[in-house]
Amino acid sequence: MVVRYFADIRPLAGTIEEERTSVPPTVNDLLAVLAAEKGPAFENRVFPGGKLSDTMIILVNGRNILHLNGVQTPLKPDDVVAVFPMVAGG
Amino acid sequence: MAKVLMIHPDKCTGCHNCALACGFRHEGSFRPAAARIHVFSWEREGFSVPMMCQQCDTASCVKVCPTAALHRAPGTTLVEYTKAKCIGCRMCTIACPFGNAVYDSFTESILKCDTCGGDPACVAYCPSHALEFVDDNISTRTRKKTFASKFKEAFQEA
Amino acid sequence: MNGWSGTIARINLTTGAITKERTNLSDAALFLGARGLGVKILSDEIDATIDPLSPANKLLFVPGPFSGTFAPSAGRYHVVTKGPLTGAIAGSNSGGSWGPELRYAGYDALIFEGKAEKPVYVWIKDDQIELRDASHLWGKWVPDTTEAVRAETDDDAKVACIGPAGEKQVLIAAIMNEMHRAAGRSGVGAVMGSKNLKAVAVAGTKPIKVADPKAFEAAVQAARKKVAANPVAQGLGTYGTEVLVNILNQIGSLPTRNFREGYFPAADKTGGESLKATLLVRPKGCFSCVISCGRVTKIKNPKYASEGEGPEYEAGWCMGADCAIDNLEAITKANHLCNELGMDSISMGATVACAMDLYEAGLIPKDEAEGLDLHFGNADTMVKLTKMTGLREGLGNKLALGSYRFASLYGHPEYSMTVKKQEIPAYDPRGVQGIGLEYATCNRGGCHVKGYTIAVEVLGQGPNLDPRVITAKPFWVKLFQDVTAAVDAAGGCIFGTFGMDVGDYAAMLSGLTGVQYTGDSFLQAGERIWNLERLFNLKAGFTKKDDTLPERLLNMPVPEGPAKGMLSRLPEMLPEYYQLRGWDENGVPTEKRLEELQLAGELVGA
Repeated sequence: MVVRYFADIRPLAGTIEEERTSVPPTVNDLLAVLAAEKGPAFENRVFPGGKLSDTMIILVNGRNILHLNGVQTPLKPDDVVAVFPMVAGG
Repeated sequence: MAKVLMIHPDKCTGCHNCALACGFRHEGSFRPAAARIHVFSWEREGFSVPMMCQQCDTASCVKVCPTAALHRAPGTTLVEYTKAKCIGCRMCTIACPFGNAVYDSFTESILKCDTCGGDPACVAYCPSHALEFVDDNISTRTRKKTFASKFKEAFQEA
Repeated sequence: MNGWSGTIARINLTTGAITKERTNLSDAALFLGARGLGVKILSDEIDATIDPLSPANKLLFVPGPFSGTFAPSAGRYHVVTKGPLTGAIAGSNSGGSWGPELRYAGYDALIFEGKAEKPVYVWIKDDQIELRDASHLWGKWVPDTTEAVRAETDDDAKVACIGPAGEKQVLIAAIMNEMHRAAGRSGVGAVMGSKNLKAVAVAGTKPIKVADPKAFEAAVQAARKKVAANPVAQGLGTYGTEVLVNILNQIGSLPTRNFREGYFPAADKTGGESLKATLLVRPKGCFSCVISCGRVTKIKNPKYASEGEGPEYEAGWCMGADCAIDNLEAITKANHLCNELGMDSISMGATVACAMDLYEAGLIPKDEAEGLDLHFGNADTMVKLTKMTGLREGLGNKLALGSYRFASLYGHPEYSMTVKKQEIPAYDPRGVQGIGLEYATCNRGGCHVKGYTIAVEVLGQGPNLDPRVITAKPFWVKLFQDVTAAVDAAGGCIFGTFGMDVGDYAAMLSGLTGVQYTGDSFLQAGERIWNLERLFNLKAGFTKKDDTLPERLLNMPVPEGPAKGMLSRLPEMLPEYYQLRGWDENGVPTEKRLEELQLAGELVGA
């Protein structure tokens, strides 16, 4: 499973992209693992108090989890997870 | 403790909110010349910086003012302007080395920063923290600390 | 007079006559200013069937009532005319400081008519308006023009001008102000060039009066707080709009190789994160902006050495993934060139992508390419073609027509990714359904910004809609189009809507002008403006057939990536859209809807 980080999440995650060999059952589980691993700065931005921040967008295989099963969206070994802060463009 | 207006040119984005707020605070409308703060922009380089009265300790404008319309009360950080005493000789505009005293024909007075009575509008409206109203003793401390931390990083590597 | 100045200046370039007129205040109240007041005046004054590059066209510069005040991120002006690229209503929005300066000079609008015999520029200082010879400026690029005009007028003058592209009537030419801000789309620069008008310089000292200063300031402060708390608005200052490259790519809707695909593996090299790490010098804000999305950038590499602003997301895309180019320096250089020559970066990059597509399909003979390698991915070619187009040199002379006419020269207009002959922007409508409806129905042709449903379909704002479904999309497209029209007309930048809503705008507008607006009446002004633009287009000869998308997006599924297999379902959304708009099945506004919008009688001739 691949996890990709974007914008200001990159410095907090310490990387642009990583392979995760152990695949947590759901997005929520993954976020908990990442928060524990990456430290308080990451946790406060992405997963404060054990809940996904409403300023974040999480994609699984290019789909916003809000249109899947939210944070309960199940994860598989060949999934690609993308972690974005809310951004904008023209 | 006394407070002064501090400029951080590296944070200025050239948005002019400071000048808009200043003019509006003093006149309740938007007249370009009413601003006591001016933003200078260089388009090719994309650099901007706001400029206003620095409330000099030994102010040239105070020295040349024949009526003490411009004066500094002892122990304060403000060079005050009293329009009632002003004769419009404009010596201050000649004396200020920074060009921060301006004669405005519309209001027939000298316009210079008065810190809005201690609650500067420019600071409140600057969206990028390029302007601060800070204690005059520690006004550069943040900047010093930012650069000090570069030493910390450099020595940590070695 | 509060808010508006009450004065419009009319400059007849043929006769040299300069007249001042009273602003029609009832029109101002109904259409607000900028885009709205502009389309009202243009509709009243020109026959919509005229040739846009003829002296019969009029070129309007119209700021909004907010421009010049501290309504947050609201210092814009609109250029309104009939667009030579599209033949439709053209409304190009620009930031910088030019719009506020025109308001300080005391004008609600400038109307340019006719055509000057020789190149001229206009110098406006408060009540004084002068026509001056510009023969010595003709041929100068935008930065040199700007500095030369300032040297002859006033150190503090703000200058709107065209570069060589506008002078040569390149159909994708833009009007630039403060060197780096563009009234970009639909070829408005070509209209200015066709009138032999090189520049408009303005300096102003007059006050903008506020009806209720206390109420206005309170409304402004409340609005500022909302924008400061909005994560999207705040993120823009850090990474700029280019931060979008990666998110569109990750959902599989970053149009790649002229919309053949939706995923570009090297996209990260061209995105906001890379820009910030390499070429970004500092952020930049337009007049009264609280967001500062502008990017001051500098390339030190001697090959592409340049300084200026941008690229924005659109340029990063059309000169990047759309051409399969991953060289950010080349992209930035080409964007700087567009600003310096005065061209729309979106249409420029997308036209190069079209040329590359035609070339790889074997449809452009090699000798036409004049020794250039026109394959996708060639960054040098893209930069060279940009310069050649602005100067109408070699193949650039054909690219100067825009991708639709260019592709038609080779018998294959279907390779042009345009709507109403205007290049569509950086979101693949096969993966993002709502934006496809916006592209197809936007009054100025292929455009995203006038109905930016991306905010709710991709960026997590508001109802967070699934981009792939069509449910409710007609409703949201109409809503975004109407809100945007009102915000544009007030002089606002659309990024202010990341935080502010129609109620906030209405409160500020009421405090400023003394005319009482509610969120509803503000929104209705937007719908009124949208309909008047539609009527203009109908009179110009557009029909429902023109509310469509390129074949490729209707019939060629996305080949791979997260949006694999998808097509635009525009034909399913269009009837519901017409209904919501109160238009008949041919997309013509009904008398009933026009009466509700106080546009009764405007239908005549449509």
